[in-house]
Amino acid sequence: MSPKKLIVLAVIISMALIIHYFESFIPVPAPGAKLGLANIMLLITLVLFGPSEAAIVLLVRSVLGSLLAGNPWSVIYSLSGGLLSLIVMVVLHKKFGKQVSLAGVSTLGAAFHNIGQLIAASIIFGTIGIFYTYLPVLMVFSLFTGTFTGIAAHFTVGRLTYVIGRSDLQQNRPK
Amino acid sequence: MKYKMTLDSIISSLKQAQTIFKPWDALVYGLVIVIMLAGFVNIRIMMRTGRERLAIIEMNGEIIDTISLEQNMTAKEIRIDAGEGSYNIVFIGYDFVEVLESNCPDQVCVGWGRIRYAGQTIVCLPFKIVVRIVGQTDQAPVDDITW
Repeated sequence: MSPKKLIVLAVIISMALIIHYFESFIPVPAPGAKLGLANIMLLITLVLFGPSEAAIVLLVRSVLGSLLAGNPWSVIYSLSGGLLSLIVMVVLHKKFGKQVSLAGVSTLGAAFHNIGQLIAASIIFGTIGIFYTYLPVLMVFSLFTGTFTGIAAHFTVGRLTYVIGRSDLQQNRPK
Repeated sequence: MKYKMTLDSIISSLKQAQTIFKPWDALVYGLVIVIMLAGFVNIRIMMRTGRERLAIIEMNGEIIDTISLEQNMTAKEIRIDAGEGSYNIVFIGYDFVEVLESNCPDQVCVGWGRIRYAGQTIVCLPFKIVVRIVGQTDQAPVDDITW
């Protein structure tokens, strides 16, 4: 990992942390739903660098973010949702990057983030009840938040490519 | 003139949307909408099959209290001790349930509001307490719904 890439990743992680922290002050209409703005930084990393770098950003952001805002329990929810969502987004972006836009990738990622969190909650609580009663509500939110973060990432990627420089970026990305 | 300008901006934003979205996005959105609709239909069916509503209070996956909402003509408060001084006070109204008070750090359960229909839940993540309403059926009151 080149020093430049290290620094760019560090900046991306710190920006994701700050977004994650301030996002907790924004009121949401349903408990458990989130805007998921920090996902913008994850998407940018996935597109500009690749899956392994995105995984680093996700892990560091989840652990530090839970220490910064929230209780230790939220690490489990954050990681279970985040990892499932990242796997889905990587597959969708790598395999179908030409046919599916960032907004689509982000929407399916948001949906699976919620599914992952609800699976974790169901296992921790030992009941399947909260899974199927709360899933549809969260799906509605993921449609809108996923599209929004995807469009935001789409425009940011276009501009960041010139700032970072192509030599440090992942080769042969679908676009 | 002003009208034309807004029309132009709408057309240009639509053209921009064409550059953002790609053809298979429809499949992704369709998939999410199908999951969402299936979930809502499932909840509808549960609400319809339920004759009598039961409020079930669970902690760590174990049912600690079951209250029938139809026969509950007098309101009452139930205090749940989650150990180490943590507690939730659940208020059972004559046809609704809400969490009145809790000393959990995030207070999400207190801000949840009232629930009254089968399929609705209140969740307290820090103390692992779930309050949910199920529609009771004739044969198997709980196992039918919790599988």
